[in-house]
Amino acid sequence: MQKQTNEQNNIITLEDLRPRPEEKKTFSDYFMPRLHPGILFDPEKCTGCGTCEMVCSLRNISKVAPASASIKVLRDEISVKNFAILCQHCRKPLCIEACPTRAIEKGEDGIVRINKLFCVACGLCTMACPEAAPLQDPITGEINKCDLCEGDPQCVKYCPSGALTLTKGKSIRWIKGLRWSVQTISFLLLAVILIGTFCSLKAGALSLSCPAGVLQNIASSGTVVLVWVLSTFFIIGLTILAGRFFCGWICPFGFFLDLVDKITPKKIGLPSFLKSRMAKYGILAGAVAGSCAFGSQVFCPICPIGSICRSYGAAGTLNGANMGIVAGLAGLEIAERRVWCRYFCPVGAILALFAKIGLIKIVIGANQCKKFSCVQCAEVCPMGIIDANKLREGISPDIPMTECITCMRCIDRCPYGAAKIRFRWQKAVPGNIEL
Amino acid sequence: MKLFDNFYNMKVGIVDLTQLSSEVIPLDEQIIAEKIGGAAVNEDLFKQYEDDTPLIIGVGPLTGSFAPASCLAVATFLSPRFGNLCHVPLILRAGPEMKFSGIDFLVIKGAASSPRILHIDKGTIRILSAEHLIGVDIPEALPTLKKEMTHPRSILLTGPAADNGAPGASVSTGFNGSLDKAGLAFLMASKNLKGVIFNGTDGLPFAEGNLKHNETIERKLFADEGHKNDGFLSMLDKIGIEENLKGIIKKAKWRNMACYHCPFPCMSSVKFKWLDPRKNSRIEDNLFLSDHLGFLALAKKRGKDVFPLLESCHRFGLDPVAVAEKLPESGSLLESLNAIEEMSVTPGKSEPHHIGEGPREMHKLFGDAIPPILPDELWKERVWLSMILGVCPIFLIRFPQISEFDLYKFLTKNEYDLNILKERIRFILEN
Repeated sequence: MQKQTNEQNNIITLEDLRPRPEEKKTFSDYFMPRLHPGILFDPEKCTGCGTCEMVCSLRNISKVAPASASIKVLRDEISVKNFAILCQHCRKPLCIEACPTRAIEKGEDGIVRINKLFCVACGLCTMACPEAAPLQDPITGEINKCDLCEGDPQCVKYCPSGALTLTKGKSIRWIKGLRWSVQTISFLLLAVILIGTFCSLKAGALSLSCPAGVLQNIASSGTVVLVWVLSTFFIIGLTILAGRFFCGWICPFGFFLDLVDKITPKKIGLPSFLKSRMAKYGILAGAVAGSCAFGSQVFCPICPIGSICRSYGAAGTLNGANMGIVAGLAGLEIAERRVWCRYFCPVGAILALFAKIGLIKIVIGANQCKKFSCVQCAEVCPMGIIDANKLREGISPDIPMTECITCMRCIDRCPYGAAKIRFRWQKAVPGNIEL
Repeated sequence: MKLFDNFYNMKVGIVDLTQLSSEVIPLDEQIIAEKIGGAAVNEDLFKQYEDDTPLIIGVGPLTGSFAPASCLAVATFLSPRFGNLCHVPLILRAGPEMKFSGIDFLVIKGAASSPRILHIDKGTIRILSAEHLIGVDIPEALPTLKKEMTHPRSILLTGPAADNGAPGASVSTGFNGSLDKAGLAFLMASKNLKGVIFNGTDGLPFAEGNLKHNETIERKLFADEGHKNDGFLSMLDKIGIEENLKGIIKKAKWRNMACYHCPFPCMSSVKFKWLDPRKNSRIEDNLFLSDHLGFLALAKKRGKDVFPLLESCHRFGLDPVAVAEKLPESGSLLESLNAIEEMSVTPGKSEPHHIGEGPREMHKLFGDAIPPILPDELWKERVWLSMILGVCPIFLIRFPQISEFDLYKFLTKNEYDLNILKERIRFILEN
């Protein structure tokens, strides 16, 4: 409407002069993301000699003037640690959004550059950047920002301790590809081929059952059948070995939610009163108590995992009720990612209890992740359990394995190799100094 | 000779603390042509202002440049501890930041009536009040200063020990200690000068092609020495350290730290855990190790307690050698910590202190802080060279394979000028 009015009044806007580039995402970007160049900083190797600042300033203003460099190495004298401030060439740079003259652009090569012709040195980019990487030059007054020296960064070249490394990013994220493949196969197997058999599946001598269903069965019948209990061992064993791997890699409803997430990238948020991670334990307890009271499984008929398996009939028929449940719960995905899994899933609740005593844990070593403002791990975590604020403070966040679905997105995404799987008894967080 | 056009701001700051006035005057080209820079020019300026018991801080032509370890500023003064004219090396970033703050030499004369701190940026000198910093421990004073001065780039500061007139007071570069064993902090306190802040927001072009020359030297060094470097420990090895003392550092977690543009760090930061007897709890602390002789003196005396004791010295702004001299051979950690605190509040006359046979004249000339790891004549020549050119003396004595010509070539590539430089520096060294 505004544009039409401007056109009617013959007003030329910034949009006409420098239209905001549209983000073009191809199908392959989902599986083979474009190269994301950047400089990795290793505080363990950095000696704080400042050579990077010297060579950078020489390129910026043809003088050795460390204050005019686009990289800053600072030493916290109390903790005796060096840290660097430098542009991360973010995937979605906030500086671009903040720039009122559209002087900042991200090139096809992934490098974020300032076009000095348009820059008015207002400093809004510095304020918007979580790293405060664009810096005002005290000599020229211009804004300096790393442009990776057009692919051959001098700081990396001359760093005597090898603390700086140029990375062109990961071109293929193999965990992502593997997980999507496993999820797709599991979905096809459980929801299309072995229709309706998820809750209990018998293949020869092998008997597999949903632990939540078995618990409700025991509660409703009042008897403990050893075969039922044994049939849950596969999923429980898998959970003890690999955490809630089932939720992240196998669950067909989880896969469905991941697909829905792809078409609803913007989230509106969930009301705070619904955001209780304990709710799923309440639902589980309610399902068991209800089954005991009514003498039949009360949750299984409405279970979204079962529903998605039953929504497609063997003869090609569609089950309206089940589809309604699936669609309704999937609709919550516009609020947050994996809302059902985070707060309400009783199957997840029972697996969480076993994941608590599981053999593995996910650790993120804030010391190794180096760039406290990167927080890409927190952004990709579908369960929202990585505390970005702690990472920004340089503290390794605790990852509750009861909530982690071992999807390994954080490991896959981390450009610094700071997110890792460790055995429960291993104390060291990667990169943290243990005495 | 316009040899140094790109290497100096050609400015001298003159501060009169008695009058609380300052001015920035042009640096006499003739002095630079004759004396080149650093300690030699300092000495000349000292003679000019001798009547005002001056403190001169100056840089060399290579300070801040692409020459390896070009970190040096030199403080020249009449040592209250040794009684002779003394050149104390100021390392880390003091030299480059001083040069990039727009002045090459600073003459501080007279004494203020109340505590003052100097702030230098863009060639201007401000004399600020420092009353609120008197008696404050260095780690507490630093954040206050950083807040007030919007993150200055290099701070020379005296601690409570100097405020109280303690004889073992030593100036501190940030919270990293220093190589001041000649009473610089004592002199500063007598002038009511709490510290000097250099905010290097400018720069110098230096010479084209120097980056390449530096690369050649670094490659040569890496080829000789290998890439593995043990930081602080590597220098202790050269001095000679017993295995049990070496084990103390090895046991703690450490990483290498370097001065400005140094490819072979000789400093380290250590992370250590210790049982604080005052709080009766086990705590984790970090410490910057820069003073090799200070560390050795304390370690020889008190072995495994060296880290907390050194931290305490840094906190109060005390010289670890002076502390080691007075600490008893045995006793609990609590007693030692209390003794250090006591030393920091007990005024006295600044006296020579030493471990063993004591420093000789040539070591006293450079403040008795540079480890004697070379034969005397060679050591003296290398240290003088570093003090004139503005390159770290520890680096130059550690790598004698770097020839003087290697360094001169940062100033000029011209054969004729190189020979003139050589002759002039030879003349300075011989006289």
